[in-house]
Amino acid sequence: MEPMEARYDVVWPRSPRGVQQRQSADRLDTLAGKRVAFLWDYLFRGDELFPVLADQLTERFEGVEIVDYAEFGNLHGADEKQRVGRLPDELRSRHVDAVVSGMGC
Amino acid sequence: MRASIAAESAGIPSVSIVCNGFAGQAGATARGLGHDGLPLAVTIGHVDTQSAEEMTANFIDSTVDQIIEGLVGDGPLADADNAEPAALDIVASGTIDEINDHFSSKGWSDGNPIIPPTHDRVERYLDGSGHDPWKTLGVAPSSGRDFTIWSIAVNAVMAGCRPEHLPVLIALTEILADPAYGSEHSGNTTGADGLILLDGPNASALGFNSGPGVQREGVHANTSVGRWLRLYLRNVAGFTAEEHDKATFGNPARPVLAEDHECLRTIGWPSIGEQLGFASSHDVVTLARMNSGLLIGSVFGSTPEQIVPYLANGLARVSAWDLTHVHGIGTDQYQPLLVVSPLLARTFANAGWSLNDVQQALFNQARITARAFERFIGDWTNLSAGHPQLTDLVAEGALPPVFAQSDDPDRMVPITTRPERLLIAVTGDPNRANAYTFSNDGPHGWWTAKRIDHTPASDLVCNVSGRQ
Repeated sequence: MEPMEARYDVVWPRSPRGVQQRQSADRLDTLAGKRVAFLWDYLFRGDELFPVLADQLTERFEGVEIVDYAEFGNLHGADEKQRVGRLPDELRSRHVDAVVSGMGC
Repeated sequence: MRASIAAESAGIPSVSIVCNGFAGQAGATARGLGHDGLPLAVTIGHVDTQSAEEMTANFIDSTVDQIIEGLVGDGPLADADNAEPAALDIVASGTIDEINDHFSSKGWSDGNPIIPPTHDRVERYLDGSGHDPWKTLGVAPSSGRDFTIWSIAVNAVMAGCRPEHLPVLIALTEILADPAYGSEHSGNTTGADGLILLDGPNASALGFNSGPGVQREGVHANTSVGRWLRLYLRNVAGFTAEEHDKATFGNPARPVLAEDHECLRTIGWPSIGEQLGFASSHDVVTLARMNSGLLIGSVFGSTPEQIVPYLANGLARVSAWDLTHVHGIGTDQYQPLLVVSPLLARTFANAGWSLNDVQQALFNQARITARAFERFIGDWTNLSAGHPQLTDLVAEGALPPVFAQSDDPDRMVPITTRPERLLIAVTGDPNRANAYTFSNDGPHGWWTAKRIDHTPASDLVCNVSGRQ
């Protein structure tokens, strides 16, 4: 008779999520007449796509205003955390209603 | 995603544009940052491989509608199924083969056999350390999971680490928790992996090899600690293909690159930890993510003047896409590593050269043409907006004047902004004349060092079972 092979009761190698899920912001009824800010990490052809998006939104929604990504600077790189940390105040001070952020590739 | 989350935290709805290959990681990142289900607008394919016309047409046909839908209408829906095991739950029972199969199927293993992390074995691993198993060293910015002492120990047991290595693992975890390191970038598509460097008076007593074959598997301390890092990134920081790891290729786990402490003390050169500001009396562990490695084999020469050109050539050859960390993805964050054997280091030291002397000589000679540099940061990779010329960047103050000593595209420019950006480590076979270079991944795993504290903790050593 073969000897009994050892058995193991093992624990989970992960750990709990300390981050609590938060409520996202309320969505808008329409983009008409709203201020939409573009935020860019200066990567992956955002300089070509954001102007296209600006044209599309302007065509589709009357009175929409675009706040260009240049107003916020490059949101990637050495001072990324500081720049992103300032964003809530910068967005509020510009009376921004909605944000489009890119580019993640 | 982080910019979008900043907007959401200000009460402003957001949508993030991502390429379709990035959508999974973006969703996992949002969940890790507490915003599960945040709207994405996904492009068709990867924008970098499309003509301008194709990319624009795809964007208008598909992505613009997603952007509008993400901002208008109903809010994001979070995944309601968040049930997960507690730390002390038994998640599997079986033979060693069954446990290994289970861990592989769950994505909790690196594919090599693991030591089953039983409750008793993990508890024994922590015995005598004085650490409260439930103490948190921070939160993984990728997954949102806690960096607990318990989770460090579970993965240490799995990797086969010895209890005396716990202080090293804790110091490494402190690095992962340090915002300066940027552990959230550990799964970027280019697939860099962490290189652990270690030096100090106690490194040898801990069993770390700094001699022949220092980066080979085979020495328990170097190999098991290197393996632990990969397991910990996988299991706690969430760097699996299903979540945050988007490496196109990736690398095997690297054994710890322990430095030759005795040689460094003899020749009076600083260790990497000292180059990063620590005292020579401290044991220090350093972590940085490396893109590429390149051997500088059979270095010939009996004087520094004969040796430097070949080493400088190696540094220049290993530096290409990585130069986007001089300007582009990073900002003055290209800091490659040159590893020289003790024999080469002694050749410099015997000629009276300090480490700073070597750095200056390498800075002067590790150069490429401005034309090549501009291709790497702009034309070939499109990671530096507007394809800037080095002369323009110098005029803007983004780079030092050494990059624009003329406007000749064939002028030679350095690969870093200053000599100190060329780090030098001494290790390996003391009787061989070889060197190795690594290019680093800038802010995506930035050079970060922590002191290894061997002092037993005075935390409450509690009844682990009582906390379940």
